[in-house]
Amino acid sequence: MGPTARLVRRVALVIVSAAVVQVAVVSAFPVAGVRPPVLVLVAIGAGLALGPGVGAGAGFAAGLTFDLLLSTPLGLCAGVFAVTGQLVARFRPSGRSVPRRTAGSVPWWHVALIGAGATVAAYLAVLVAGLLLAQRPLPTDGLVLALLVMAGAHGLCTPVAVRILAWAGAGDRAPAAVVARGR
Amino acid sequence: VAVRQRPSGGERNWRPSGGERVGRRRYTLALLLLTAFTLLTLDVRGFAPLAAVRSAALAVSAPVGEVAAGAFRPLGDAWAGMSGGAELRRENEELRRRVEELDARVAHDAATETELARLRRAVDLPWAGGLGRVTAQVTSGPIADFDVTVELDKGSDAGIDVGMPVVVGAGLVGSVVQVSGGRTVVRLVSDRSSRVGVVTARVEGAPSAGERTGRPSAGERTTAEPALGLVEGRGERRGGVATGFDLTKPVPVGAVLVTAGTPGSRYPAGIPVGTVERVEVDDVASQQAADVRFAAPLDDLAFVTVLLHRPVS
Repeated sequence: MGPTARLVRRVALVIVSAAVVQVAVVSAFPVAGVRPPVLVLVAIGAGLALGPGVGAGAGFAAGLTFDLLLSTPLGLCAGVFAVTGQLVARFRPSGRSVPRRTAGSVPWWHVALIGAGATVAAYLAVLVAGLLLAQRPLPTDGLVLALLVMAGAHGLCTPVAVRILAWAGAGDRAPAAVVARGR
Repeated sequence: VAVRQRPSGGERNWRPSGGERVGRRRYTLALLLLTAFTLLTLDVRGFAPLAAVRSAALAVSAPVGEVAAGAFRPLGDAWAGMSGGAELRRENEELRRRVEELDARVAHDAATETELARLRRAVDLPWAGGLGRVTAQVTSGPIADFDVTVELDKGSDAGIDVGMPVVVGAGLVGSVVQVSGGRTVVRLVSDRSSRVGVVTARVEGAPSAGERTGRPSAGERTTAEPALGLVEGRGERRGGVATGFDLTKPVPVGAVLVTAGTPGSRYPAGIPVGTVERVEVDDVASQQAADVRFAAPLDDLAFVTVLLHRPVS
């Protein structure tokens, strides 16, 4: 099996697992009534661990899966998550300027902050894109609470997601992998 | 955080320049976005093959949700009790207050029933009779915050189709948005994209908001006709907002809103949607808006009935 095929299979496995977690766990355990979109973590994790190209592709696939699970218009989350995966790679703690084969280290909370920020941005983008492209009205109540809960939950989960997606890309031609480590 | 490089054999032999890589990534992203936009456009326009894909996805994911819902329900209830303690106390106080109010109104129940029956006759609301019905069990609730849906354990094999209204004894629950052979997804009336045309079943002689606030608009006069409006969800299970009521029509607090059943509507006339809790007059738009408490207990749905109603265009 070539490295690309292995990457695709592993990312697909991660997406399916995240979908099962979304359907089976998140829906049963809302936090303050909020059910965070687990699948956006795939886009964020892929962008951070595997770079913008894989981040966009994984984000698109994760978003499409999410669209199929929900009744949102097909392509809405796919497009937003693809952009999320692409853009989040720009905010890697190491950035693009890190020389190849160089291992830098930053606190784990840096990755968490990126995950929280990307989640908030992606959620708002889904709402705005839904309004502009599918005439889905914006929420009037509880938006701030929902954003806070999602940012907190995904901030904590992003380092784990990065680890998982780094595993998915292990052995592949990843341009730069960011692996969060607690210190 | 450690930053690692993992060069492969392919990289050693050939490596695109930085500009080429960036260009390729942008090209890929543009292609993905174009695909997403195309899918979205086709889906919004009701492209049939995409509906079939959704149906297949539902058939695959529904059993997972059902099994998980069964397995996690006790834990989920415990979690809800822990995480929603303050909310439960507040709700409890609110319910106590409402019980007291309801006790005070028990004496008027018989008269209200009679009044409601008369009003139903007046606006011709035969929703309870004549239509085929399928009773189904709610197997799982919403899985994310992007939409408010529930899944049912019956589907197109039982005659259910997209667009059909879903009700419980208390009133409207929502409408069918996806269906497969044995599963149905229902978008609740509380969903932000839900819109239901309603009409007031008002108490005779009740003043309009303009009269109550002492600010009747020029030429305003109350009539005995029911007011037409539009109930929209806000993403909250308990209530929504109703807009578009004519200023000249009374919209009393406590009035029951029922589906208008206008031609082409997916809902037959007369299904209770909710109760008016608060009315505001929008002088600029020359209309009244109201906060609505939904009639159906959307937080606690176990069984629902799908009305086999197809809108007449």
